[in-house]
Amino acid sequence: MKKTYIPYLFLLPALFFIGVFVIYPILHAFYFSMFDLRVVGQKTIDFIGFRNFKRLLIDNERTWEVVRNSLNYTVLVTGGTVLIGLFLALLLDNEVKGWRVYRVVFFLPVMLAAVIVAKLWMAFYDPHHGLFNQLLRELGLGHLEQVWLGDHGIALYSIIAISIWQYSGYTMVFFVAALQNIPPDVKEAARIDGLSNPFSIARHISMPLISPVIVTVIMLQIIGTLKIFDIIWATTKGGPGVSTTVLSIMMYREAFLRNNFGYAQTIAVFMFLLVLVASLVYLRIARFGKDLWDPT
Amino acid sequence: MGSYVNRIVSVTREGRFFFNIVIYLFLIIWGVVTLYPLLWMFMTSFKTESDFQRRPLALPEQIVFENWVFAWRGPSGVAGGNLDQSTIPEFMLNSSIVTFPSLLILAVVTSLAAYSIAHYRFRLRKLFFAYFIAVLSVPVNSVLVSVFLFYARLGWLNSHIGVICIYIAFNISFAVIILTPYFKGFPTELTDAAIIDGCNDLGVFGRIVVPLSKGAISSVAIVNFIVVWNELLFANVLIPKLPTLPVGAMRFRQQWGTTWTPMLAGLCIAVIPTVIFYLIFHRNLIKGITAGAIKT
Repeated sequence: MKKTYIPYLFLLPALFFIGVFVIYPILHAFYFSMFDLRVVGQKTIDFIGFRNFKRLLIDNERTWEVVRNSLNYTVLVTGGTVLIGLFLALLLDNEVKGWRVYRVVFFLPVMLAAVIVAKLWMAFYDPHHGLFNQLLRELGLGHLEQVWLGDHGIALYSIIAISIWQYSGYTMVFFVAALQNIPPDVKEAARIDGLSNPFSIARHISMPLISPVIVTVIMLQIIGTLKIFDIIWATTKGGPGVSTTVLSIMMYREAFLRNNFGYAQTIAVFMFLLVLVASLVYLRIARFGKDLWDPT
Repeated sequence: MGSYVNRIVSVTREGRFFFNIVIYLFLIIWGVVTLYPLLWMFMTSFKTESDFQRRPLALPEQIVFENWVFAWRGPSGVAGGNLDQSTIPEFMLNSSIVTFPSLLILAVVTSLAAYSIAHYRFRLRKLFFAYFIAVLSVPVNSVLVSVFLFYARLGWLNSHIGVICIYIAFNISFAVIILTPYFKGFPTELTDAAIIDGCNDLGVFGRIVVPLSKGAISSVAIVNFIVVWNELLFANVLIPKLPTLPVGAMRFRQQWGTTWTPMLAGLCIAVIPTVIFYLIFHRNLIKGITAGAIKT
């Protein structure tokens, strides 16, 4: 006798948690994005249709600055970590002695909480005693000193630099694993065909062979960076002005500092849709997905 | 021109040597870039504040331990307010109370789900797997406001259980995606034999599959540990009165007024458990992270 309900039973706990704590809250966010909802002090719940969306996308001039910050962060951190991670992995692919030690060291910052990394880098960015201004002064380049986290034009890039520092080792481990999966005789054959300096092997053999993994890692990084919150909250809280405010920060501020819960839900929905669209567009560009959707 | 360079490099021993120099040079540069901030943090935590302010980059004039003592004891009497009275040991306790139950439940829930998809031939299994992948790309921050509103109504704010449920729900997809291909490779001879011996499906899973898959399941648990242990946003919003390590680290700077060195000692203490954990588990960790993206 075959008990056909068993597999569903095994799936049930996982589906329960996702249903209750992910899917339902998302639907709730969609629903309450159409309300003016305040919960602290004077409670109000007024249905206002799409006015929150109008307010977010049309009336609020700062929204597009925030979206631009989010995209800036995503593109630069994804690009930076993938390029550096790939470069490091290709370097390690040359029978480097003690490559495991390098991998352990390069991956170490990924382990640390972004808050802790942020506090450490704030000491480096300190205008008076920080490493960077100190170095510039000692090199006689004192005129280049910056208020790294306090300058409208620079703050976001200072934070992006921290994230690239922290997460290049993360992308690297994927590429190292992928490169190790290339059968050694492939490279041997290339060598016999006359391709034997490490740069040409990397360019003509290794990189094309691991391109599916590169596509996957870029995808993971896009999803991860579009929702970034902690590193920015721990360094600048979105300031000065809105120069480092990204969507998560904007949502947090509206809900928990301004008591605009309905409007915050609108931002949550917007963020959800942005990540969805970005993922789909990216997958479309990379002509990819078939491989990922089939576990076999 | 290109092939000319190739030939020179491939033929001559000097060419090989030159490439090795370049490779090790870059690796060492990134090694220094990675490690220097952490070593600097450690070194500076043994400096007096005035020593740090005068010569932030130099070695300590004399080694003092008072920063570490301050950081460990917390700022009792220094700053006002209940929140700021919490100390690092309390942060670590809260982090542990949140993290370990999450990991345990996650391990059970996700291995059941992954085993179901991998082992049973039921019609919807591909759809379920696709569903887990789709959930992976949901930006979790989008559910923050909804979850906060639910918990406020249920009285679950500042309870460990609420945030544990969230951590379970968010990490299910990743774990299922990694464990499913692993269970696909699990020999069916073993499970069939157990069925013939009179074991029911849950018995097969609990007595045969789980004990033989400890390695894979713990790799995934180790990855989840990092995510949960370092999480800031939800811990900050849902359990502000039970600060975890990242939430507590957010307050380091205010606690110490304008001084840097006690904060750096606090960061060192906060980092030590993670670094020890990393040195013990780094192999499983990296295997767990890359397993989903790279098919072996």
